[in-house]
Amino acid sequence: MKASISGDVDLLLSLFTDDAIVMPPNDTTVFGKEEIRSWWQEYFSFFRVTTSVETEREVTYVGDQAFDRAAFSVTIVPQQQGARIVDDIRSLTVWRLGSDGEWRISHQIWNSTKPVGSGTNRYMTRMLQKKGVRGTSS
Amino acid sequence: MSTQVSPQDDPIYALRQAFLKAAKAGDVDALVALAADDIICMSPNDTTVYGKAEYRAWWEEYFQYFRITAFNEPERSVVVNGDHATEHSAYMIAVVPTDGGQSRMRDDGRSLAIWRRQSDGSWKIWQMLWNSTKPIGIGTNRYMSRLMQKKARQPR
Repeated sequence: MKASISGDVDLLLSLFTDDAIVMPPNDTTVFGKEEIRSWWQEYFSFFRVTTSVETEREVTYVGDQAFDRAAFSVTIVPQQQGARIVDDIRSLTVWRLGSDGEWRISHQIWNSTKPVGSGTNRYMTRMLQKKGVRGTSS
Repeated sequence: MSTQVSPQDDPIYALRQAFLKAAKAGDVDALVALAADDIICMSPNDTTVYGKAEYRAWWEEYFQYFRITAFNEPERSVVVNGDHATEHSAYMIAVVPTDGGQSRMRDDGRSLAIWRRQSDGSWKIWQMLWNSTKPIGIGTNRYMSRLMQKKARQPR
């Protein structure tokens, strides 16, 4: 969470397993560290996360896995122009304990509780439409 | 120790097929039978559902508005860890609004479900969250959004 606010991609990446599966809403599934790196790099080229406040969290440890369910309110600011966006997110994250004793994310998915057309959805849509117009496929 | 399992060693494959079948049949009892008593279900653009009773109400409301005509999972992986299974899948779905005022809608999404083996040995869905891969404004999002706006205007 700290890394997402500071926009520190290297720090974020160190939190994922090499074979991690990340499923951001309204986007394709991201497999493995390299794809995760480019996803976050692109994200931070459009947005800055200014606050992220956890409203609910439950972590269940089972052997070498931890099931982490969370809800949080985020505020993000577009890098270009546009107003501050507030969104309420839920996430389900599975952590795996590595042989080096470090916990890393193996699976992650999230969505918004807000109706479509509000929250970050609104801006993300416009961004995707813009990307489509530019003809970039990534 | 968590291990990715092959399809033939997957303890929840048949149950997932039962889930897809029940969803297509609009069979709320069968869907609820696959849920743990303390299920937590997080559907997109909606509040979190806690426990079997709320889960039942959620599906009952869903089937008031929609009929699922196709529901397939072209991609799936399962990690088993003792009494817990982590299931990632990608799905393709087609739904038809029950009011007949709108044509068939297609959507593609992903789901992450944590299944938990119960004291009687059966596997049940314990936590589940899904989302769509489609840009906002297409897929089922568009219709769901209008529906939510309608619901907000109508006092319940």
